[in-house]
This record gives sequence, C-alpha cells and structure tokens, in this order.
Amino acid sequence: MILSRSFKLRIGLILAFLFLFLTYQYSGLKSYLVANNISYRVQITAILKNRVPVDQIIKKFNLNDSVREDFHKGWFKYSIGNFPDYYEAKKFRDKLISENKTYGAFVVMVKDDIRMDDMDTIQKETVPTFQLNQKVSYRVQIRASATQISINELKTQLNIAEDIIEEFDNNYYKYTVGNFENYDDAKNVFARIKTIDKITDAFIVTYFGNKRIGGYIPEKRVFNKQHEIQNKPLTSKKETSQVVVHKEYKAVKIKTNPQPKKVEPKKVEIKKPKEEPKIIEQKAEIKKVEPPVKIDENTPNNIILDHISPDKLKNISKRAIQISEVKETTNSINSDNYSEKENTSSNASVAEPEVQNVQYPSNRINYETVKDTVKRVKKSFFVRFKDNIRINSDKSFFIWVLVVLIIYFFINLLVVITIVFVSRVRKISKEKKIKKVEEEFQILLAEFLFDPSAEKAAYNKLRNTSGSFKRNILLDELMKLCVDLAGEVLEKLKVLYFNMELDKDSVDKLSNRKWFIKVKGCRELTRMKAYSAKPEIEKLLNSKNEILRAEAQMALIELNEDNPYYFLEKLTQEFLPWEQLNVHVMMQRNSYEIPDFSKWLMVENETVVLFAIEMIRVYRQIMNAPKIIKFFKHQNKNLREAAIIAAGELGYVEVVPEMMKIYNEVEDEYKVMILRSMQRLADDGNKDFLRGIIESNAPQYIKLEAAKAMFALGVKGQIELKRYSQTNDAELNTIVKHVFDERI
Amino acid sequence: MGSVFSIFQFFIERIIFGYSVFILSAYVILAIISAFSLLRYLQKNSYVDYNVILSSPLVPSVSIIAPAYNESKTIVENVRALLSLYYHNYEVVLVNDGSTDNSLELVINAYDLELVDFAIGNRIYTQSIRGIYKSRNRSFDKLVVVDKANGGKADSLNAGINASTKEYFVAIDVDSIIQSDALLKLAKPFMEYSDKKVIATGGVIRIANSCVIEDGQLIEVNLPKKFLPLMQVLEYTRAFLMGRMAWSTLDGLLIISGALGMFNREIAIKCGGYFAETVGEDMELVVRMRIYMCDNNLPYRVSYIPDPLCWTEAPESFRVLSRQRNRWTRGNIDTLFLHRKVFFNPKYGLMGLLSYPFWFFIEWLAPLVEFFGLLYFIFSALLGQVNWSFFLIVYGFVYAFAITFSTYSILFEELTYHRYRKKREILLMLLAAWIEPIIYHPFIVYYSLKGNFDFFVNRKTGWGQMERKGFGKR
Amino acid sequence: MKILVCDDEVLMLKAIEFKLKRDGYDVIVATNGRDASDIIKSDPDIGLVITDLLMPFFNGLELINLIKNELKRKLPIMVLSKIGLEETVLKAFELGADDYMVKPFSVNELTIRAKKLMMSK
Repeated sequence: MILSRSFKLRIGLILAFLFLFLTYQYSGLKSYLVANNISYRVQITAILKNRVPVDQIIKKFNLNDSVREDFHKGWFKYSIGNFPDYYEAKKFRDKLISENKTYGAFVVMVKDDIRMDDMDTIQKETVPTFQLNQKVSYRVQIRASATQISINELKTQLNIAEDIIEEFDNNYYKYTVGNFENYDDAKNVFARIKTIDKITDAFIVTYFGNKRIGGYIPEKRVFNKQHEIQNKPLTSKKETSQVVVHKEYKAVKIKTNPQPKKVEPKKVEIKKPKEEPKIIEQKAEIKKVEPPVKIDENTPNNIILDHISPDKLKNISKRAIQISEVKETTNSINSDNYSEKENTSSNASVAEPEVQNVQYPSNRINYETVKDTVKRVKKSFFVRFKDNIRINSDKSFFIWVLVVLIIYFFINLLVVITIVFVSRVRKISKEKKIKKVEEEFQILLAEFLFDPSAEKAAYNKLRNTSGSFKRNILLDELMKLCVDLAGEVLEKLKVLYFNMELDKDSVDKLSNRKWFIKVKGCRELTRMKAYSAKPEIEKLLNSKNEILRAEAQMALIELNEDNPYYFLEKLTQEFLPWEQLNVHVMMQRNSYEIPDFSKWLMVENETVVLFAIEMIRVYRQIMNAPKIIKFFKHQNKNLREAAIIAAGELGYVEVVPEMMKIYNEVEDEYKVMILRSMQRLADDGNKDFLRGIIESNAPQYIKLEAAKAMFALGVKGQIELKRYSQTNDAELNTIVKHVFDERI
Repeated sequence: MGSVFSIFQFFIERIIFGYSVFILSAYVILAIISAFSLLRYLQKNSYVDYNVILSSPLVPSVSIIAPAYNESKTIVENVRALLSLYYHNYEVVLVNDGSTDNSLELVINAYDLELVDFAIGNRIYTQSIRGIYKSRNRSFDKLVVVDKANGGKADSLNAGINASTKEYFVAIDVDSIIQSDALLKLAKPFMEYSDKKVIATGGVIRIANSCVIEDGQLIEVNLPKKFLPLMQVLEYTRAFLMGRMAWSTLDGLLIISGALGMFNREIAIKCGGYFAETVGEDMELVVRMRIYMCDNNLPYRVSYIPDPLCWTEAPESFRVLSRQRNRWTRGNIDTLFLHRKVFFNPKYGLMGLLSYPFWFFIEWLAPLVEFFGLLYFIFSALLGQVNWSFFLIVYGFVYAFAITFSTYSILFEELTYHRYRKKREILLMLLAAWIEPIIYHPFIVYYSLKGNFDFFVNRKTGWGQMERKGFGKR
Repeated sequence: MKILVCDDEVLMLKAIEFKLKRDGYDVIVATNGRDASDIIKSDPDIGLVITDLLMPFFNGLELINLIKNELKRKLPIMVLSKIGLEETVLKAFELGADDYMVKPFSVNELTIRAKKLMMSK
C-alpha cells in the first residue's frame, strides 16, 4: 500500500493526538483518585474504646494483609484491603466471610484518607438476607471471655461431657455446647447446664447456619421481645448512663468505666457513646411501629419457624426481629432471663454491660412474607440501583444526565407524534375544504368565461365572494387559468381581477415579510398586467433571494412595454442562468420587439453580458457578430465559451476564419464547439482546415465533428469523406459511416 | 496482569464512550442542519414554475443512461416511461449489458429498432460494443440502444457516456420508476450558480414496494407491507431527509445514489468515467470528480434535491438484503481506501476535513465499534464486572435516542412531502421505529461486518445477483 | 362528430370541454395518452383530436404516430402544448399533426382552428 508522505504525516498526527488525549484521560483518572483518594476497604472488626495492636488483629483473624486502624465515632476500626472499586471490595468481603475468617465484615469507603461512614446504608442492601436452605439451630453458651480459654480446661473445669465449640465473636471468645435444631432440646440441655455450679452465664444462642445471630443496626432497632411483653420502656434516662438492661436480668449496675478483672493489655473501654439516646428512642419507636402480627402459614418462613415452638409464634413479629448481641462481661449474664414462657427463639440478647454494639449489621435475619420480600426486593432494587450509581461517583453525574435525556426523549416522542397526527388531520381537512371551494369556483369561472347566458350570474356570484380564504382560492384559480389562456378570456379574467380589487391583495403580498409570499404577489401582478405596481416591484429587483429577483425581472418585462429590458442595466446581483431562462421565456411569450442586445455587451455586470451574448445567439442577431468575436479572447471563461457557441450559430461568415485562428489555442471542448459552428457555417474555405484535423492525431470525437462539418459542405465534402472510407483506417471508416447515416 | 487488563478496560471504555458521544452528536447536528435546509428548499421550490424549463432552449441537454441486465420482465414499459418524461431536450440511452435473456429482442421489437453506424468513440474504455440501434419510428427518436458485452453497471454507464452527445447525463437503474418531472427538478440546480460549476445533482430515492405501478408509472403510493421494506423506508427517510440534506447544504455530499443522479458529462469523462473495478461506483465517481475539481482549482458544487424523484424496489428477503448491504459496505471501503489522500487534507476543503472523516469514522467504523462494544460487554458480563444498573440506563438512552430520531424523520416526511396518506401507515411507521433498533439493526450491523470481512479477508469484489420481482403489469 | 381532448391538467380540460360543448360539439376527455389511445381505438366516430404533448404513459408524439401511422386513421390532430420550440413543432408536423398551438392560447382561436380542421377532412 503506497501511502504518500503527507498522508502518513496526517495520520500520524491524528494518532499521536489521540494517544495523548487518552493518556491524559488515564492520568486524569489516577490523579482524581489520588486527589480524592477514594478507596474501599473491608472492615473486619471494631472495638469500642479499646485499642488493639494491629499485629494481634492479624494474628487473631489469620490475615495476610496489612490492617488499617481508624478511630471513628468512638470505635477503633480495623480494615484490610485497598480497592479502587466497590465491587472488588465487596467480593473480597464475601470471600472473607465464606472463609469464615469473620462474618461481621463489610465494606467501608476511605476518602481523602478519612474513613467515611455512609457505608451502612449500602451495606444493608447488600447483605444476604435469609437463606432458606440454612437451618436455624440452637446452642447453649456456657462461657464468654475476652481471652482465649483452652477447651479441655473448660471441660474439666465445668465437668461437661459434651463437646465445646469455641468461636471468636465480637472480640470475645465464646464457648458453646451442643447444636440443636429443636429449641426444646436446647432448653433441656440448658436447664441441665444451668445447674452446674461454675456456670453462671449460660444461655441459649440461636444460630442460623453457622452464623451466630447477633448485632443490630441502630436505625432499625431491635427490640428484645421481652421488652414488649413486659411492656416497659427499655430503659429510663437514668439507665442510659449505665447500660441497657432487662428488668428480668439481674440488674448489674456497671460503672461507666468498668474494668474486667482479668483484663489484659487489651482493654475494652467503655464510653458512653453518643448514639445511645438515639438507640433507645428508636427502640421505643419501633415498638410502636411494629406490633406483633400473625404470620402467614404458607410462607417459606414456616420452615424456619417450625423450629420455634408454636406458642412462641404468636409473639414473633412479622417485621425484622433483630437480635442484638451484646457485649458481655464475664459476670453479666443471668440465666433467669430465660423464663420458659417468654423466651423467644430469636432472642439471644444478654444484658450488656456496655452499650449495644453498633457495628454489626451483617447477620440480620428478616422474617417476612413473600409479599413483603418482593416489596422489599423491589425497593431495594431501586435503592440499590441508585446506590450503584452513587458508588461510581465519578460517573454518577453522567448517568443522571442520561436519565434526564431519556425522559426528555420520551416527552419529545409524544410531542412529535402528536404533531404528526395533528398536522395530518389539519392538512387533510384543509385540503378537503379547499377542494370543495375550488370546484365551485371552477364551475363558476367556466360559466363566466364561456357561457354567455350564465355569464352575468356567474360574474356576480364571483364578484361577491368575500373572506380572505375564499378570495385567495379564487385568486389561485384565476392564476391557473391565466397560465394557459390568452386573448379574450384573459381580458375577462383581468376585468374580474381588478373589479374585485384583488390587485390590492397582490400588492399587499409584496410587502409581506416572507419572500415566497412576495413572489406570489409579484406573479399575480405580472399576469394581470397591473402597471401601477411597477415601482414596488422594482424594489425587489436586487433582493438576495434569486427566485424573488427572477420574478421581479419577469414582472418588469411584462409591465414595461416600451423598454422591457431596462432592468438589465439596473441589475447588480448575479444574473443567474435560472433567471436568464425565465427572462427569455418571458420574451418569447410577449410580442415585444426583440431589442438589439449589443446594448448590454458592455455592461459592468458580466453575467448580464453573458446573457446578452446568449440572446444574440438565440435571436440570430447577425449584425452583432463582429462584437461577439471580440470576446473570443476574453478573460472570463464563461464569456469566451458563450461567444464561441454564439458565433457558430450566427452564420456570419467572417466568424470562421477567426475561429480557425484560435482553434489551436483552445481546449478540446472549445474545439468541439468551433467545429460544430463550422457545421452550420459551411464554407468551402474550411475544407483544408477540416481535412487537416481529420488526418491528424486528434481524438476520435473531434475528428467526428470535423467530418460532420466536412459533410455539411455539400457534395464536395462528401466526396472527400468517401475517399477516407476507402483507406485502411478503421477509425476513419466508422466515422465516415456515422456521418453518412441519416438516422443518427 | 490484572492491572494491564484494567488499563485496557479503562481505555476501551473511554474510547467507546467518546465514540458514542461523537456519533450521536454528529447525527443530531446533521439533523438540525437538515431541518433548516429542508424548510428553505421547500419554501423556495414550491414557488418555482418548472414549466419555464420546458419551453426554453437555454436548458441543459441531458442523456438518460439506463444500464440493463436481464430485465426482460419490465424493460419495455420502463423504457416507455423514460420516453415520456417532461423535458424536451434529452435522449434515452439504453445500454444492454450483454443480457442473457431476451431483453434486447423485446426492446427491438417494441420500438422498431434497427442497427445504425454510430461511431461511439472510446473516450472511456469499455467492454466491446456489439451494436447501436435507433428507431425507425420518428416518435421514438429520443431512444438510442447500445448493445455491448457484459461488463457490469459501471462499464455500461461508461458506454452510455461514450454514446451520449449531450452536456449532462443522468445515471439510473432501469428498474427504478422516475417521476415525470424528475429531469426538470434535477436540471434546476445546474442553473442556479454562475460562479461555480455544479458538477452533480442527486435526488431522493423512495421505496416502491407495495406501490401501484402501471406501465412504468407510479399510480398510488403505499407503505410497504412486508417487514424488511418497511424497515428500509425508515432507514431511507432518515438518511435522505436528515443526513444528505445537511451534507448538501454544507456542500460535503460524497454520494449520489446510483438509482438517480445527474452529472456533467465532460467532467466525468475528464475524470475517466466510472471505475469498473469497484462495487461502489456511484460514490467513487462523485469523490473522484470532486478531487478533480479541487486539483484543478475550479470552483464547484454538488447539489441535492430532497424531492422524491425516483422510486425503487427494495430487497424483500434477508438474503438479497444481505448481499446489497455487503456490497454497499465493500463499496464504501473501496472508495475510502482509493481516495485516502483526501483524509484530513485541507487541500480538499470540506470534503477532506469533514465529509471523508465522517464517512470513515461513522459510516464505516460504526458497525465495527458497535460489534466490538458488544463483545466487550459480553466479556465484562462474564467476568462479573458489569454494573447492570449503569448498563440499563445507557442502553435505555441509546434506544430512546434511536426511537426519537426515527420519529423525527417520520415527522419531517409528514411535514414535507406527506407521501403516505393513510393514518394506518403513519402508525405503522411509528411502530416500526420502536422495533427497528431491536430486530432490524443487528442484522444490518452483521451484514456490514460480513462486508468488512469479505473485503479484507476474502478479498471479494463484484456484484451479486439481485432477484427481480417484476412490477405490476397492466 | 366527437372531439377527443387529451391533457393531464384537469383545469385545462374542463375549460376546453366547456367551451367546445357550448359551441355544440360532443367532447370526450382523456387525462393521459394511454386512455386516449384506448378511446381512439374503440371509437370510430371521432372527428378531431386535440392533444397535449406531455402526458403520462404515452406522450403526445406517440399518440400522433399511433393515429397517423399505425391506425392510419384520417383524423385531424391538433397539438396544444407548452413547448414551443422549433424542433418540437417540426417533429410534430413530421409525425402527422395537422396543427400546432402553443400555450398560453386563446380559446376562441382554438375553436376556430378546430372547426376548420374538422371541416377540411
């Protein structure tokens, strides 16, 4: 592939530009990220007021990555990973959860090196809700400790035969016994274990699959079923400074800064978090909002709810029952809480010496009917939708623009469709109306023009037409007839026109803003020979619009009988071929004397000169031939061309020698024209010249023209041509045959 | 590895995004310009009295060149229609491109033709001429029939150009229906300028499927009933009323349809006539003529008339459609490639800086980018990287845009030429606008891709056969 | 004796029809050449044909040719056309037209000429 240098250069420039542009975009992205420093991390744990050395976290969770510590809203929060994209972070989180490293992880956003806290909302929606294929089970917890305890030791200490399972949950090591699908079974075991001396804080914990049910989200409060049943406010203001405690529990007054005895370097500092009042209020709120409702027996929930003893079902609210997992202290739990009547399976909450943990939204279970699910899913879809968009915050603006545009398009569509139909209806009805009136007028006009008996009546009827709509249609019909009819008929029409003062209508049109209305008016006045309108029309002579100009010109010819072409001198705009055409047609129609066009050969406006030459040609003004010859060498190509053609048709003998003189200097096209002229101006003197051409190396089509010219010379020329046909020159033979063939 | 991929992703997304914005804005801008120029044209030409052209010796002389290959079903009536056009100074040059059926005999019999010794000349090289015929009947003396060896449409047109003796020629498809006033309207642009030479003019091609045709004349206009032609009506309306009108105003029109176009004969010859080796000979000639005028510093213009002047049969089956689009694509690439020196070359004015790049980036690349975008999307979806809400909105936007655009073009058609009279037809068109992006457009993209493939990989050249479904016989 | 008038412009047709009818002639109209040729072929009673040249399907010249050279009817033909160019006029006469009038025309003139033509044949 041969590429010219300039082409390569241009393509190269463009590609370079493109590359630079894209690189800039890319660096733009990076710098945006850097400047805003938006990244996503996965938070794995948070500790209230207590700081844990990072390497401990790493060890505990068995992590590979580095951990970042933030102090945020009173908690020390630890997160790992660093993702530029929310989804990647989420995937990572899911991975962590599935690996059971932690199940309380969620994604947080760090912007400008500051941890943002709006992830809760997002996190809410992306939390997997209840998985029907997992089962609810119950275990009995026997010990919770901030530090790890050896299982064997526990076993011997507590003298339990069953296996003990250790979990690390919410910064506590928890030890549970058993795994029952049936709450009653768990209860039995619990009853037995309760009696063991060393066990002071055993209780039944509900598990969903492998996940311990715990945590709640501050906004959607959980409420411990027991509160409702007791119908007591959750806590009084006084108690807020302490702890949320159930009345049934042994009240454990805890100071605001309790220190567990067996405290180790990691301390759990208890501070009064500011959220507390809010929490409690919301608790109360929810109490009002969510009364216990019967559960639909047909919902899949029944599968889960089957595990709950039937008499408990009544007490379970339809709404999300959130279980709060409360931090424990070693001495906080009182097993008396769980009276048999009032236990709800979902409740594993315990008196919390400190404030509720606000950090754990992750394992919420919703008990709902399908309808609610659908509603929730729908709502969450839309919310998720919005959030998804919000997440890609760099594109979100763009997305909203698109949405707006989509709405705009649909509105547009409606508008357009309406317009389409409305305009059709209007057009069709208008056409019908007009047609009707038209036909009436056609009949009337025919009577008026051709029927002496009905003439007067028709005339009167026409005369009395009123209203601009009807008058306009009548005017149009008049015009149509004028195009084709002449003589007496035309005179009659004129009478009608002027008597009805339609000429005034036409003059009004001349001053209309729209040019095509002006054209219409001009045309009407022209056809009707309204001389008085001349000055108005003259004003239009040099308008920018060429159609208007042409109409004005034609009008002035019609209306100016003594000097019809005077406008040519006044013309300053280009006299376009189209206009020339119109003027010429006008000339033909009128019986005016054809002027001597040489008058305009010297005008400044060269297009007018061109017209003059053409007219000299068309009207065969032979006397002007010498003047035409002068144009053979004019600088304006168009004039030269026109002159040559004109001269050829004029039949002026002196033209030919001049043409022969310039023949060799001009291009092929002109040679053809010259030869064609010579076809018309047959003169014996041409023979040698023509012969020269035929015998030269000229292209075939030129030779053909020359041969035709030779043919036009008469018998002498034809004899010469016949001679050529006897030569061996095939080309010449074809030429001669063509020339002699009369059918062509 | 991952980061390389994400960089790649990043750029791809940016490119696709940027391209889409570019293409959509280009369409919108063209549509706006089209609207204005359409309005102006209508105002101007509703008050033009074309009859003056009929009566004047100053009008250009025209040769209608009709290449015909195996058109025996309709050739006689089409020629008759061509002989009845409203114009006085013209001739009809029917070029029989080595038909293997009896087209030639039918014409010879119908018009009483005999062989004449016509020295056709060979200013443009063509396949060998077997004979030239004229009628014994003087009322048919406008007709010249050129019989030649098969060489393809471009070759036939060249033969017609050679045989013509007039100033201008009109290239048509002999099976198209030309309106009676077509020549009048086509001739006018050539007389509208005195400082520039108008080298070519084109008109609007409308779809004749389901229209009532008798003896080569259009009696009644109907919207096509079949699915494919209906889709094509939309396509053509959009392209002609909202695309080419704008290009004409800007004087950047690169293509004049092979179904109807009027050209300055001398300039076409000087450029060497049609290029027989390409399938996109209509566009190729226009571009070459433009280059010629620019190279020689001659002021010129290519005009365009939005009036429906020519009605043609559109493919009704997918097979024929695919061949047609395949051909168009290859023709496009051919022309773009042959005249690449124009690309962004300021020497060629608007053509180089605007028209050619537009044709390159949008007419040619759009299907490719679309396909590639689709692939990328599928790929991303498989990787789970797709933000579905984002995608939905973007897709919704593109769809809404397409519908709105098509609806606007229906509006234009309604407000201007109002050819489809029945309410049912308008509704059908509006409905078609909703269906087209989903069902029809993918096929077009596919055919275009195949065209690209055929061009670059298979190195395919040449035409396929388009089946003829004869127009209604009387 | 009937007069056949062919013109694709309805208004023109009406005007001429009206006038001729008033003058006592029987008038048949056709809006295109094909219909005109059908009428001519089927009706032997036509005394004069007034035709335009530019019509759909069959132009006027073909019609003249059909009547004079193919059907060989001794029917006077008058051409009434917008085209006033010399070559067209000549061609029409060559093909067999008996008279040629250019639009715009005078209806009275048309009537007189028509009468003359019908009387001479």
